[in-house]
Amino acid sequence: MMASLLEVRDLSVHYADRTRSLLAVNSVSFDLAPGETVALVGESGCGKSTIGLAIMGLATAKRIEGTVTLAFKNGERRNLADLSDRAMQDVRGNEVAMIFQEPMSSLNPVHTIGWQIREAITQHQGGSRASADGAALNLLSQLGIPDAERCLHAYPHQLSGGMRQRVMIAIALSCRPSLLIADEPTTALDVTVQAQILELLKRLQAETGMAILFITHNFGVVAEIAQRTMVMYAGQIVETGDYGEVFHSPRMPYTRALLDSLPHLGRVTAGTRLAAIPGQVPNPAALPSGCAFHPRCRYFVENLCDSRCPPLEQSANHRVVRCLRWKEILAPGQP
Amino acid sequence: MLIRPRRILGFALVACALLCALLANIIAPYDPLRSSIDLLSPSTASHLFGTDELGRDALSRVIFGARTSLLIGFGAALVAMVIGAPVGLVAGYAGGRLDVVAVMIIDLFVSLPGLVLALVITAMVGPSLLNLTLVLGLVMWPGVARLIRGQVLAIRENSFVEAARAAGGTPAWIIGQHIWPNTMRVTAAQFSVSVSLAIFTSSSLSFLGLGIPPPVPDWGGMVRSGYDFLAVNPLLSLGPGAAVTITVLGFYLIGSSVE
Amino acid sequence: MLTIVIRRMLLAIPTMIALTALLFFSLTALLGSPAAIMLGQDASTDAIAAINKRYGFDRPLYVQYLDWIASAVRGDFGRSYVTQQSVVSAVLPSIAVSLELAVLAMLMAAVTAVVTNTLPAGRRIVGPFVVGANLVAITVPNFMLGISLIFFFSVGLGWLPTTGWAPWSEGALVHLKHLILPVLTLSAYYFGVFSIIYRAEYRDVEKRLFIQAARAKGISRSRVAFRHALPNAILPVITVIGLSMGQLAGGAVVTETVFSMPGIGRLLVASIGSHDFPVMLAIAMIIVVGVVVMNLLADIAYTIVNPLIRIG
Repeated sequence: MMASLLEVRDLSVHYADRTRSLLAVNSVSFDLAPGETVALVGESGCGKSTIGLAIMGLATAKRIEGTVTLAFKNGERRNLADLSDRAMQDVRGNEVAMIFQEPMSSLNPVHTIGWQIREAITQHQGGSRASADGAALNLLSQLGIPDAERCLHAYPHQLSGGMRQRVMIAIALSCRPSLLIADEPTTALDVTVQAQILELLKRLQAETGMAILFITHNFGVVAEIAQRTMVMYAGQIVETGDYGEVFHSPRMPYTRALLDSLPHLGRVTAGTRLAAIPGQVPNPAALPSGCAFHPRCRYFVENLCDSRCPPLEQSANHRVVRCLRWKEILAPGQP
Repeated sequence: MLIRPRRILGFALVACALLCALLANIIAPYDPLRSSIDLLSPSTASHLFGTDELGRDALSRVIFGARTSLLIGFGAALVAMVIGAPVGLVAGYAGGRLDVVAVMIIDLFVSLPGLVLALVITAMVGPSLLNLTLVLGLVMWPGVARLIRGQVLAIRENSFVEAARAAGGTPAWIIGQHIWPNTMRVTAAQFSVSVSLAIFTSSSLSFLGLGIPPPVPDWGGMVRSGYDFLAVNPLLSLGPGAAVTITVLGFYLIGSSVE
Repeated sequence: MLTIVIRRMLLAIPTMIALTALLFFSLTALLGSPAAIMLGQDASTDAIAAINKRYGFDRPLYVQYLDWIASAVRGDFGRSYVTQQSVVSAVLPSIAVSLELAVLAMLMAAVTAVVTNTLPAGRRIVGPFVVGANLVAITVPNFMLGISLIFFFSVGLGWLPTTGWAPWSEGALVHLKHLILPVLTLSAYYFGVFSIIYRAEYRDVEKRLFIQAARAKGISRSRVAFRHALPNAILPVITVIGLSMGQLAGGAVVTETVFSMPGIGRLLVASIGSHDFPVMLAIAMIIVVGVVVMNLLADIAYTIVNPLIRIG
């Protein structure tokens, strides 16, 4: 059994607004193996992006609890949550990199692409401008950007959305991180470009052996790329497991509902309606009692689901579920 | 009207200035024009700010000086509003070529060196209360017009304007009944800022020698003549200077507290 | 980019023509008869007519204007009524003084406003204090600030001289020492204005995604502030610099008077006092044209600095 690359234990993130404290991430634990792709799926507001930022030490939170242990490239294992901001600067972009949702807004409009890639390279690897430029050119060609030379001198607004996202990926990969956190990297792109970027990520992962934590709200997007998946709701992980297994036989009713709301060839026959999940994502300041999903759950049982918060239970090898009734709700098609 | 510290402070300062202007006869300890043999005396119990080079009580002169400043301030702001508001309203509402031309003219005048022009024009026509008011108003109207035009552009697209248009209202009626009332909040704020600017500029003009001719007490002019005696009695200069600052600040605070 | 620059320059020319013509016509109209001024109020009509013919005051105004412009472009602004010297010889040296004051004041205001509001520590500590200082800076009249500074630093503490000008021949250090108070006085207002605008823009820029993305690259807070946020937040400041030129002229006139500096502003005031019309007109024209040119330069600077416009 390989030692994990990333071990997150009981990570909790407290935000504060003027009047009260909100728990955006509630005692989350998971592992990431080297070279693995894990999809972190959930609706907006469930805390998934916050986890990514918390790992990077960029969450503007009032208090962060728990440990985030990373296996560094030099073999050391350290808890990122303990490191100072100065020490984290050596980690960001170097050991762990992050790409974001809006490729246009993620690049600085007043600097050339070349300047921005060079900055990432010289920050961690030093070297002259010429060598950084050379490395940048290599990266861009590797990422399939035509006329990389001209791209270096261009400004972000001169490139298309897909190109910008490739540049973002180039910057993220420039120092060969062992973990890439991808926060909805394809959501703002159109469908054909989405597919290209996903292909690209898959190829790069095979070449570099890096792990990817893929954050998304869309189950379907990660079908080609993810080995495992974790589903989040209201700041907690509610189900994890092998991607294929979760996709085909979800145990947690929320996962079920999520999957049912996706249009899929073969799953939907003519005449059936898309099932949107009724109700809304709860406000972290006013979470429902007991199981956070119970107001919207069609398997809700009074005095059970609203009285205590379900713990994570092991349902099979490598599968974990947070539901009090999961044993009764087994295969799709069951009422 | 929300109670905001800015606005309260502004009103307090303006109230002081207004009281001085209105009740000068009662508040001021001496006749501001009466000279005495007590030349350039420092601050004493009987003359809190001391006396100037003609033996006149400086504090009384500062108090009476509020009249000139406020008169010119309000007058100039009024002139600027009377010229600028219609231009802004019509240009903003009419749009099209008329607006384009109006904007060109406004932009032309806005970038002019206001104080320099006021200086030169006042020099030509002579500094009197009326002339100063008119000249300053002429220098400030483009700024007012631009602001009001901006407001009109923002309001014009609102649905109640559409409704009025659909009901067959003439442009004049729509402007008068719908658009103007909605710009008034911002316009009132702008008026206050204009008064602030007018007092700022007119006191600079009188500092440079183009204020109301002596012996009428005039803050800027008093700063100028008091400057010569800075080492002897700084209050001769700093007193009226502070009065200008406080009044300008007061009007500005009121005007800028409206968003 | 070149096309944009050329277009802006071409637009500036009719502006300058319109403004100078307007100035010329209104001033000569207000002036009345220059001959009467030169000779005195009770000169005979014959004497006046003779002067009018000699100087061409009897020609139609637009002809006089064109003639004036033609001469001005060649550097001839006529002769002073008072000294009979050529206006240019009186005005030229003062322009240098005023330019130095204005440029230093603007530079100081811009640099201090931007730097204090960018430093991460600066923003936290200085923040509320700066808001109050801004308010004071934009409402205290120039002359009050100048005289207060003189009272405090010259009369009171004796650290700095009371006048604003010592020629370079007396040494660079002396020269600069004299400039400290006037530059402070003139720049105060703009420090306030630039601070307000820059802080507001910076707050918006800070929230944008590329700032977080830059931190995610491992860049330090101060480098992100100065190399990523500042170049974006400074753009509106450049625009405002251009728009402030008109007001700067007025501020310079007052500052030069307070500090007895031999600049073009004080010369203007003096020429007004002595009713020296050619000098007055020349200076007013120079200032107006100067403002338009400065405005244009700031416009061009903005175009150069902002790649979205430069390349588009």
